[in-house]
Amino acid sequence: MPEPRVISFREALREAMVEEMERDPSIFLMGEEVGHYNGAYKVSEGMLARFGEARVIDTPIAETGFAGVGIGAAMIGLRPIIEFMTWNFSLTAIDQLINNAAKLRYMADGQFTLPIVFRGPGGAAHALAAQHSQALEALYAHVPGLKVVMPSTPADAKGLLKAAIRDDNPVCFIESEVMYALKGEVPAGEHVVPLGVAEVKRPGRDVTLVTWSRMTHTCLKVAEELARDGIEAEVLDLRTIRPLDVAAIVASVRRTHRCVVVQEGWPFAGVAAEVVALLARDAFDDLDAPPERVTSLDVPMPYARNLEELVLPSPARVIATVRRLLGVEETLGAPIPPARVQRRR
Amino acid sequence: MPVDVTMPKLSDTMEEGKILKWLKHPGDRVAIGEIIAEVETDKANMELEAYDEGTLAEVRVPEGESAPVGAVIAVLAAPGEGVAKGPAAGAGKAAAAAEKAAPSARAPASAPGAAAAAKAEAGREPFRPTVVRRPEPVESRGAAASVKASPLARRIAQERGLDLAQVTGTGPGGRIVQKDVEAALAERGGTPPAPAKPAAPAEPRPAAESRVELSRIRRTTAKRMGESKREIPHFYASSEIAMDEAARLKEALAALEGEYEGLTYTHVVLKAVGLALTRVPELNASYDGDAMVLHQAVNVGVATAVDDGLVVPVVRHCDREPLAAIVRQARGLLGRARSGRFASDDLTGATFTLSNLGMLPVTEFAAVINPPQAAILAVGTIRETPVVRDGQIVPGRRMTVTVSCDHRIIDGVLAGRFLRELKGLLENPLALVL
Repeated sequence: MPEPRVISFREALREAMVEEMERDPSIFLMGEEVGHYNGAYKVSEGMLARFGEARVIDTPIAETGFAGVGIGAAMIGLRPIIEFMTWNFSLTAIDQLINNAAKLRYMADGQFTLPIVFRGPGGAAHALAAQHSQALEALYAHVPGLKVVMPSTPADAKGLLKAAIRDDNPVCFIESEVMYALKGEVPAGEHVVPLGVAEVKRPGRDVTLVTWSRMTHTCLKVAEELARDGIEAEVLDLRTIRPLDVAAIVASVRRTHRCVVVQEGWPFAGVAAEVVALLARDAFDDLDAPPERVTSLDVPMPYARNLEELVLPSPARVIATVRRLLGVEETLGAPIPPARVQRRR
Repeated sequence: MPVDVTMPKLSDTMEEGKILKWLKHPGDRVAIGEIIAEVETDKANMELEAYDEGTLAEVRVPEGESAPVGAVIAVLAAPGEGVAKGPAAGAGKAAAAAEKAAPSARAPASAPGAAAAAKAEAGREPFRPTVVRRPEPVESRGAAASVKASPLARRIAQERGLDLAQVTGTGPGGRIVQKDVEAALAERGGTPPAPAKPAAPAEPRPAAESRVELSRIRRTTAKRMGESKREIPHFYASSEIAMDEAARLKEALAALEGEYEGLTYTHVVLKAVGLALTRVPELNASYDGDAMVLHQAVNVGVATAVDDGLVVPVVRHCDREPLAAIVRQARGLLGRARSGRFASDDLTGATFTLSNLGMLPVTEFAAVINPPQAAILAVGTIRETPVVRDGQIVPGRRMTVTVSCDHRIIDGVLAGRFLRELKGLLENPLALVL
């Protein structure tokens, strides 16, 4: 077993890329500012010096172009890692992702593989306003042919990125800007986390909090808070949005009989809606309460910091939802949670 | 306060009822539980009991007329209480009676009639149920369905035989949740609540019994046989058939091998039943409300035991298919029954059923009709027995068959005719191979 060390999320990502590129010369990294600038978020720091300009390639600001170049390279047998400075910018390349990457293996009847990873930060950071604060996983997870991976810890970031690079299908690997500095134990060397496998980050018996990426930490905080009142929440980190680990979700809800899905994305037709639909079908007779969602509010992200906090799912809102599900009265004297803003369904 | 007497729902399928007779008349005093009318429903004639006491103030539906379920058919007034006129026929007489019964409480003459009526209507309790003699617990089922409970609570309650209507819900909005059901079960003093595990092992039970989950086939059989015996008025007719000739024919054909390989008495009887049914087609029929459906095809289901219960694969056209073809069909069906892989139409379309227990020491038995069919033939074993022939006692082979018939469409004489044809065909079996 490789020795774990404490490193940051961004270092874990870099480690995954460096180890894989050393293992396999067909892997290369391409994107805006990944080389000479050492990465907009310093994820690829030092990689140009290590691998040279042929394998760490700076591009113009032209997402459609370099995403398409990457897809073409993957079609002829290379294994590109395409970095979007943020996933918000992938929207200019969405035709490449949805019409080319997701479809080509199918439309060519499997004559070639498409081993490509699109990666970069998604979701809100701090006061980046509506166009740069979007959690777009539901958009890409909607499309058959794309895998969508969203790690929550440095160890998962390394293990999942290695698995994504080794996968012969296009993978959308969505990180989070606010987690790049997050530190955690990461095994050195070979550490691969298979795609499509969720993980219980904290066991509990009263309610399952299904979540992923950054919201995993919100849910862990919530679980700690609830435990003080004797409510044991299980935190299930999906890690991969597609393929979805349905079995793990159902197994957890069969233990706890209640479920709240917590996501950073918008509520309408989101990943949480998908999870709730699956539970309604596969765990109906195990449910002791209606499955619920806590999501961002159904609005473009406001620029103002205080409003941004109100829009994002807060621990207080998750707690209020859990308490409502359990039929537990609000603790007297507790601060009024912003949950009051959420419309009651 | 006046109380409406409404047309009760006396069966699941009842939409309206006909008043056969009013046993109480306007002005009569009515006590709780007293029979006030006779009602004809789609199923039977029933008696209508009063739920409240008072004076029958008004009859809204005269004898011989029908009213939909829920409609007001009469109005009861408390003694000394007036009643507004209803809109229906016969109201004049009723109103007169009401006036006679309680003149002091009439609406003031100066008030506009309509306003007075509206006022009285508003004060009246709407839709009081009327208690009747009725065995089906339709109302309690309705109440259970409207109980608010989580799916998990419902599942546990169903598994443990708990009536949710008796449970108080403590969940959000008064919903019955898991812990409420478990508390109720604990109070009931049964076994402790099962651990909340996905595939919890069967709850502990006394060692003297074991609970075996019914297979899907068995459940279907249980349901259908229960329905059949409850719904269908069965009657039974038996006949003893000399099987000496049929046995000789069977042995001779079986010796030919080839297309008759595997020939059994079941096949011989199938062919005989097929022909007999063309001669008495009323047994190849179904009861359908006001009609009797005579089936063109003669498709005979053969009750067949399999590992997890009873299946009835269907041998088609037993009337016109030659015996060899029947053997072929039946062999194919039996093979598929044993492997549990029926073709899609192997089990459908039977118009009559044959149940043969002749391979076991069953002298005779009566079978339960397989709805929507109207008859089933139960075949006992062929036994060697002394018989009298030409004044001499000689050894003979005899088989007793019993036909169960749906008396709604089949009378005894038809059953007798069918047995006569069947007996004739089996005792002179050449017709079976011609």
